[in-house]
Amino acid sequence: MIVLNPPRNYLILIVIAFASLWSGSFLLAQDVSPVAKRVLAIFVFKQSMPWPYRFEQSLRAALTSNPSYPIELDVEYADQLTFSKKEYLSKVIDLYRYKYKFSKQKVDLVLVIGNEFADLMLEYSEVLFGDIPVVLITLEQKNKPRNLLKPNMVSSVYGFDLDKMGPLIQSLLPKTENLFVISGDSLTDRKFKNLAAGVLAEFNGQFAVHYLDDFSVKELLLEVTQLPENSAILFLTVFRDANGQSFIQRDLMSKISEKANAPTFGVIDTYLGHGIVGGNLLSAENQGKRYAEIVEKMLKGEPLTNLKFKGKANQMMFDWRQLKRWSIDEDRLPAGSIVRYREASVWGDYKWTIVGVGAIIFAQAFALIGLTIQHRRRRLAEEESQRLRDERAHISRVLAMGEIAASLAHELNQPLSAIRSYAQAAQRFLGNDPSDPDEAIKALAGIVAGNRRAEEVIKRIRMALKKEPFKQSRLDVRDLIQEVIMLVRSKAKEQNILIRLEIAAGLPPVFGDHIQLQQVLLNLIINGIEAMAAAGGSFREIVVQASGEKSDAVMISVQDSGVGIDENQEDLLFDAFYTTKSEGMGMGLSISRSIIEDHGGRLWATRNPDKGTTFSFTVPIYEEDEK
Amino acid sequence: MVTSEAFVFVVDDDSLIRDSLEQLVRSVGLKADTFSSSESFLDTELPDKPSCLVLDIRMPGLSGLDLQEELQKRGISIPIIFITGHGTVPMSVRAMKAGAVDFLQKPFEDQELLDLVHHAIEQNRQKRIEQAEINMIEQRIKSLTTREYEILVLVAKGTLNRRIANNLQMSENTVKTHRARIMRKMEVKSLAELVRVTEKVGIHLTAAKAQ
Repeated sequence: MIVLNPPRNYLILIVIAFASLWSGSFLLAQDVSPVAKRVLAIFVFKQSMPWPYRFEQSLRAALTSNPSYPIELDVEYADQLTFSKKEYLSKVIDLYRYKYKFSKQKVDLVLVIGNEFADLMLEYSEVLFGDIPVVLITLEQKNKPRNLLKPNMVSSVYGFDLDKMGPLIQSLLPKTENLFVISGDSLTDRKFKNLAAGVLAEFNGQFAVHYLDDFSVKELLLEVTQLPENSAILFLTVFRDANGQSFIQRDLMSKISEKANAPTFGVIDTYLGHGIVGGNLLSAENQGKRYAEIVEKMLKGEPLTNLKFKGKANQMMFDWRQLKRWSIDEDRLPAGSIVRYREASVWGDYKWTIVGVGAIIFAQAFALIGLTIQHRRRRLAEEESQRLRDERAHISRVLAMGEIAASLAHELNQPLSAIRSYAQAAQRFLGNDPSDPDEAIKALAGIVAGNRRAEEVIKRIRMALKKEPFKQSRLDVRDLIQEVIMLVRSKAKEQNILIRLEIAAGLPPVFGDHIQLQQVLLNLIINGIEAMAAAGGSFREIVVQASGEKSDAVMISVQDSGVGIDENQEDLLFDAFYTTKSEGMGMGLSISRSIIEDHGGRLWATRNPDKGTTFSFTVPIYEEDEK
Repeated sequence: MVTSEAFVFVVDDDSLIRDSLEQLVRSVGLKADTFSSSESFLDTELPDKPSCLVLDIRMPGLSGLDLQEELQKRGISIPIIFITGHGTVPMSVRAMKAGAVDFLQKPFEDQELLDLVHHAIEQNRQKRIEQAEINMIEQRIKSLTTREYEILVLVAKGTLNRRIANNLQMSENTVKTHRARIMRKMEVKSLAELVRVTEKVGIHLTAAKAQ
C-alpha cells in the first residue's frame, strides 16, 4: 500500500492517482476511510416487481449516500413465490452459501424481506452466514415463539397500517354493505389475509367482510363483475392463486379493477395508478429508507433489539380518475391525502402555471388591444393628415389654375375660333355657285375636331379643380405630361417659350395619383415659365424630360433657362411660403414635394451649369400586383 | 371670284387654326398655303403673285413680329394681317408701325378677315404693278450714257436747252440731239411724260446721281 506523505511532487501524486484508477478500485479512498461494510438484502419476490424494486432502489440510495461510511449492497431475489418446492429452495441455499459463505468478501449483515425466506433463515442462517446479524422483515412479528429467533437475529414487520382501512372505506363510501377482501394462496398472501382479517375483525364496521382467497384468477375476474350493490374491494396480494399460478401484482390489480363493479382499495403505493381508488398505502421508498437506517445503526454496533415501527411509512393516497369513476367526493378524503393522476382538473396541478400563462396572455392581449388602439389612432391621424394634405394640394391646384387662367381661356378660345372659321367656310362652300360639298364636308370635320379639343381642355380644367382624395393608379408617363402641356402651352407661348418634350421610349407606366402628379408638373412648368419671363433672353425653352432612372422608378425633370436659384436656396425652395415671385404664395414647391413624397418618390432642384434650374422628381413604376 | 391668281399664306403653330383659316380662305376662291412656323415660311420660295400673309403673332421660336422684321430685312414686301388670341396694345402698335395691314383678335368675323385679305391682296397687286413700272423705268435709265443721264436730270428739273449747253459747255444743238435720244431711250413722247416718269423714280434718280 502507498503511504501518503504531504505531496511534494505533483507528478508523483498524479501517477499514484492514475495507478489507483487503473487498478479498478479507489485504493486511496479505502486507505483513508473505514473498510466498506457489505450488506446482503434477500427478497422473496421475483426480480423487478415494482414494489420490491423501488424498495431496493430506496435502500441502496440511502445506504450508499454516506461517503464516510461506505456500504456495499448485494441483492438477491429468491423468487420463492413462484418456486416453492424443496428442490428449488435447497438449490437457492446452496447458491447463496457458495456466493456469500465462502466468498472472500464477507457479508456483514443480511436483510431478509418476506415471510417465506424469513422462515428459511430460521432454519439455515447459520449454515449460510454464520452468526452475522440478520434482520427479518415479515408481515407479523417472528418473535412470538421466542426460541425460534437466534441471538443474531432481529425481527421486524413491514410498516403496513391496515387499521385505517375499515374507517376509510366507510367514510368514503358510507353506503358500503359488503367488503370483499382479495388475497392469494402463497404464504405471504395467507399471512396478509390473516393480518387484515385480524384488523377488520377488530373494526366494528357497518359492512360485512367477505374473503375471496380460494379462487383462481380466472374465477376471481368473473366474481368481481357480479358483486352485489354497495360493495367495495380490498386487494391485498395474490402472489399465487388457487391454481398455483403466480402473478405480477400490479398487472393483476389493473385487470381486477377494470372488471370490477365495485371500487377497489389497495395496500401498497405501487398499486396506485393501476386501478385502485387508493388507501393508506405503504410506500416502498419509505420502507427502503427506514431499513437503511436500521442497517446503519446495526452496523455501527447498536444492540440488536426487536424493532417495532409503524405508521409513518404509510400515506393516504388516491387516484383521481378512480375517485371520479366511483363518484367519491374529494371532500371526504382524510386530511393530508395525496391525490394523483388528475386529468381534467388541470387547475389543481398547474394552478401557478395557468395563472402565469394566463397573466402573460392577458398582458399580451392588453398590449395587443393597446397597440390596436394606438394603430387605429395613428391610422385616423394618418387619414386626417392625408385629408389635410389633399386639401392643401387642392387649394394649391386651384391657385395654380388661377395663375394660368388667361392661358386656359386662350386654350379654349383656339378651338372655338377654329370652329367658327370652319363653320363659315362650310357655309361659303355650300353657298357658292357652283357649291362644293366635298370641301364643306372637310370643314365640318374640322368643326368636330375643334369641338373635341375644346371638350378635352374643359375636361382637364375640371379635373384639376376637382377635390379628390389621393388615389394611386396605373399612369402612362407620356399622357400625363402631354395633358399638362395642354394647359400651360398658351402661357408658354405668351412668353414666347417653347416647351420641348424628351420622353424616353418604352417607359414603364408609373403608379400615382393622376391629378396630384399633374399638379406637380404644372407647378414646375409654371415656375419655369415665370423664371424665364423674369430672365428675358431670346432663346427660351423649357425641356420636359422623362427617363427610366432606375429599374423601379421613372424620373421626370423640368429644365428651364430662367433666372435660376442662389447657391444656398436649393432646399429653401421647398419651404412653404418661400417665394421669389411677386404673386403666388410660395406653396407650389412645398406641396409638390409632399405630393411626391406621398408617392414614395423624391423631388429636388439642381442649378444648371449655364443658366436656370432643373427640377426633377421620381415616381415608382407600376407593379402588376399593385391594384 | 376676285383673283384666283392671288395667294394667301397662313403661318400659325396651331394646326386647327391653320387648317380652319385655310378652309375659310379657299371658300372664297383664294389659293392658300399654310406654315406651322416662321422658320418654315422663310425657307419657302414665294410665288411671283399678289399675296398676303395671315400671321399668328405668338409662336414658339420666331414670333410673328420677329418674322415681320426678318421679311423687312430681306426686302420681301408682303402685306401682313396679324392674328392673336390675347393681343396687347404695345404689340399691335409695334406691328402696325412696322407696316402691318391690320391686327385681328380671335375670335373674329370671317368677313372681317376676308375683307382684310382682299384689301391686302389688292394693295399688294397695286404695289406690284407700280414696282414693275419703276423697275422698267430704272431699266431704261440704266441704258442711258453718263452724258445723257446728266442731261436727263437737268431736263427733269425744267432747265432750258441753252442753259444746259452752257453748263455742260456744249452747243445747244448737241443738247437737242441728246434730248431726242433720251426721249427715245426712255420711250416717252413728250417732255411732260418724261417728267412724270422721272418723278416716279425720283428717289432712284438721286441714288443714281450719287453713284
